[in-house]
Order: sequence, then structure tokens, then C-alpha cells
Amino acid sequence: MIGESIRQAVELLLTDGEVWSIILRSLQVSGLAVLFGCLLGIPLGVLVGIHRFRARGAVVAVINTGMALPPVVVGLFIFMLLSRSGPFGSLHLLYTKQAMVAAQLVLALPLILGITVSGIGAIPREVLDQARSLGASRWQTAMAALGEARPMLIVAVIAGFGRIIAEVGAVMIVGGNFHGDTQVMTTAIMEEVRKGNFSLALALGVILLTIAFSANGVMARLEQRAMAS
Amino acid sequence: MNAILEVQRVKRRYNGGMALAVEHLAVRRGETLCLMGPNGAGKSTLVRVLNLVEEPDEGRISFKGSAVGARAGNVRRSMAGVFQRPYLFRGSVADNVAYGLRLRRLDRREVERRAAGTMELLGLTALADHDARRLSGGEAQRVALARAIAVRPEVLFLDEPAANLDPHARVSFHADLRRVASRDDTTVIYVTHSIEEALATGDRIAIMRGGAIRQLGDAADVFHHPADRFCARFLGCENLLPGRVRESAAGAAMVELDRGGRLYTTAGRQGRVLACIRSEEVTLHHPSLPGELSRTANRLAAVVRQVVATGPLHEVLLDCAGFELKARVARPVILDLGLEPGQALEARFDESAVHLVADDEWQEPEAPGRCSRGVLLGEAFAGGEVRSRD
Repeated sequence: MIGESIRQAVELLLTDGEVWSIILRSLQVSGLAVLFGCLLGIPLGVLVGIHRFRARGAVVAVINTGMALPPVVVGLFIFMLLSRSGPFGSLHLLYTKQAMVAAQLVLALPLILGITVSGIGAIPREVLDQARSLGASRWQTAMAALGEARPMLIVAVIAGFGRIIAEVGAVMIVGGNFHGDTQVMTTAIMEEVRKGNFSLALALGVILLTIAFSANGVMARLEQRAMAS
Repeated sequence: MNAILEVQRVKRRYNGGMALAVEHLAVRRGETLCLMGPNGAGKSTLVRVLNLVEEPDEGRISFKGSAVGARAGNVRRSMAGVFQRPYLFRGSVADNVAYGLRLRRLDRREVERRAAGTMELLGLTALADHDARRLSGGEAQRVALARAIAVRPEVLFLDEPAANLDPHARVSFHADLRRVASRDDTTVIYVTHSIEEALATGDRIAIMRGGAIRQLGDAADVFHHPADRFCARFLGCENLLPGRVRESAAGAAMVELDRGGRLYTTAGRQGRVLACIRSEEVTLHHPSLPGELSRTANRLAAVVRQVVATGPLHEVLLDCAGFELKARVARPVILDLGLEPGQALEARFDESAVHLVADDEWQEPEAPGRCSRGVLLGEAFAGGEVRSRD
């Protein structure tokens, strides 16, 4: 059956344009969520990682709790915010790709943030003091910290992307799984399973696994290069 | 005085404990100031505060006469530091040497030119493209020094930079340091545990304890004239003999030791004292014959208790009838005198070799009319009296 699924997956990739659009949509939604997650999470992570403030322990505890947020709960929360009666209902974002990106951002952000905090926190304090002793400003010290924590930042991106590319609960609730619009690989797999079309579901699953594996492979190479440099 | 860096009433606390409490310190432009002291004395904290890496809880820091305050970032650009561990950044040797120059946003060509010049000065050109994290300890510390001096700092901080280096790398590091410091007339603040390093590199020495500076002065003066018992012990003075100054005239004094005997010194001080005699100032001789002339006033009859080889010099423990005296002599002296335990000989040292400090641990005897143990011992060993010049 698995061999048949792989054969079907290859056939679908070669012949079915809709499968490609689902794949690209998945990459687009999860890619954007990780990108925004990095833009927010890495600077915040550096800030929390470098500075020793009174509530730091509590902040780190909240971040670590956020890493284990259940996707369906996040989906429900975003749904309530974006639904017509919610505070952002007037934006009409429910069942759009933007809503899906928002939901996945909430899932990816704590992971990216948490791993960045750990990575920066693991740098010996003396390394940052060394940068400062050579004349680095606060900003330049933060950049030095980023440079030293590069392998961990790549791990943060891998972990964030891995978590959201494979999640189904949040995108299903806020995206609605509309064909040609908000359907992504995980929601498409669910739909095909419901329809009893197991071969197609498995084929999509194999493609999803391949994408996750390839993304991890690329990131692992980047991490190796970062470790070596 | 031309002070480049000055601190006044600076305090720094960690976890409620006082890590630094320096009343005043002025670092002269172009000098090498060595900070010495035991672990936890506050040397590194003082360096971090002076380097503006750490803010003090109290006090004022001035750079070239004006308070640092809010312009700490700009002032820090005039400084650079090298720590005990080199902490090289990811990248090549050349990247590391250029790091401080890039921070100062210099033109790319200027960065490359100055980094190349510095690497050439310290013999690092062949390693320029090497991964900075795969260097030996000596090479890494040389890169750290190159990274610091590439920015031509006015003040260079060195926090035990040679502590982890092998003897060969240490000699090489000091040679590099002397070369670059004299080239740029850089002010150097050097933390070290080694007296030899401090004397070889320092113009002045500051001895710290409990966050405060106990003694500050010219290197040779501090070495030969410690301020108190702690400084004397820290500077390696092994013979500390308690006593009382009995006679004192201009340029000369006689000290009666608690454990018997007298010493003559050129040092001036009154009352209870500790006589400090460096072990290498003590010379050993066959017992002198009656009437033999000697320029040395201090001559003690002694018996060899132990001879231990401790490197280039041998440590000779002497029993001077009531108190112990330690001498350090070269191997030829051991061979010449045929030293062995139980042998009687004469220990001599010059009056100028006896330095007096206040005996801060002395307590008057509790019961009136009773002599201290030291005095009793002194009486018991009256035979060990120093032969005086008169």
C-alpha cells in the first residue's frame, strides 16, 4: 500500500496542478508564519536572553508554557478574535490565509522565542563582556550574541517550521479548508480520509513528510555550517 | 598628576556582599599598573568597572579629567580588554582581529590594513584564515591581544591573560605585550597573581583585598616595602618575625624579637612591629670566627633543619634558637657549604633587608604581670641572640 501511495504521490505531483497549489499554499502559510515568528521571536529572545531583570524567570516560564500550546485551542482563540462578534471581526479575516498565518504564528512564536532565549543564555557572559570591552554598543553586543548563537537560531527555525507545517487543528478552525483558497496539506489529508480516499491521503502524507524531511535537511546543513564557522 | 582614568569612592555589591570599595585610584597616562590580590579580592570587578563593562553601585569614574556618566559608550571605544580566557568569536583569525575595528565603523580598506598590520606585528599573518576556535591556547591569547590592540586603545585591560599559558607561551605573550605597549604608549591595567609578572611589566603595583586597595606604589617599592602583614605575605615574604622596636635613631633601629634575639634595620618605626625579611635576602655562611669582620650587622647562629629543592633555588629551613628562618639559596651554595640537616652555620642579612610593618594582630597579655609566650620563648632561647656589630 505504501509503495502504491508513493507511486500515486509521484503521479499526482507530475499531473495534478491542484496538488501543487496545496503544497505551495502550505509552504506559503507556514513559511510566512515562521518568518514573522523569527522577526518577532529572535529580537525578543535576544532581549530576554541577554538581560537579567526581576521578572525574567516568570517570562521564561510563560514562554516555555507557550511551547506546548494545543493547536486546536490556539485555533479556537484566534477564531473568537476574528469571528464577526469578536474584537477583530470588522477586519473580515476569518477563513483567510492571513488568519491561518496568525494562528500558526501563535504556535511557532513561543518555540522560536524559547529556543533563542536558551541559545543566547547558553553563551558565556564573558563573551558578551568581551564584545563590550572592545567597544561594542548595546546593539552591537546583541548582534555579537546573535552571531555566537547562530546554530541555535537555526534550530529555532527548524523547530518552529516543523511544528506548524504538520499541525491541522488551528488551520482547520480559522482557515475552514476551502478548496483552492485555504486548503493546505494537513487539512486536505483530513478531508481525503473522511471521504475514504486513503490512497490520496497517504500520497499527500508522503509529500508532507518529504517536505518536512527536506526542510530539516537544509536547516541541518545550515546548522552544520554555522557550527563549523 | 596626568591621570587618564580615575575612580573615587567606587562601590560594587554582589548578592548583598561588597565586591568592590575603592576610595580613590588614579591611573597615570602611559603607565602599566598591576592589580594583585588573592581570589575574590575585587581585581576583576575593578577592571570591569574601569573598562565600563559594569556599572558601579556608587562612585564616580573620570576619563581624562571629566566624569564618564552618559558618554560611557564613547569612552569605551578608547579602551580594550583581554581576559584570562581568550573568548574568540566565530570566524577566522582575521575576522576576530578586525572585530573592534568594524565596531568603530572604519572604512573596509582601513579595517583590512590595520588588521593585517596588527597580525604582522604579532606574527599571526600565517594564521589569518584559520578558524579562530581551533587555535592552541597561546595562539588564541595572541589573537585576543591582537584584537584588542588593533583598535589602538588608550587604555588596555589585561585580566590574567597569561594565567592559562604554558611557560614558553607566557614568555612570548609578555614579549608581544611589551612591544605593543611601548609602540603605542598605551596605558595598561594588568591583573596578575604572579609577582614576577608584576615586577617585570608593572610601573606600579596595587594590592587588593576584600574589594579595597591595601597598598599602591612603585613596583619595586611595594615589593621591598609591603604596607602590612597581609601585603608582606602576599608578596612572598616568608620570614615575619614579631617584636618591639627598642632603640631607634635616624636611619637605624634595633628590634627585640618576641622569641629572642635582636635585629638591626634601617627602617624607621616605633612600638610593636613585624620584621619582614625576604628569604632570598638571607645568605648562609660557615660560623664566623671571633673578631672576624663583617659589614652585615645581622648575623644569626642557626642550625639547618631541612633543605628542599623548590626549582632553581633551594629552600633552607633554619632553626635560629627560638624562631624559624627561611633562606632560598642557589645550588652552588648548597654544594659549597655541604648543607645537611643538623649542620650549624651563620645566617646573615643586611639591615636594609629588614622591613618593619605594624603588628596588627598583636594583643597585650590578658593577665597582668604575665609574660607572653613569645617573650618566655625568647628568654629560653637567649643563646640564639644575634651577634651585634658592637
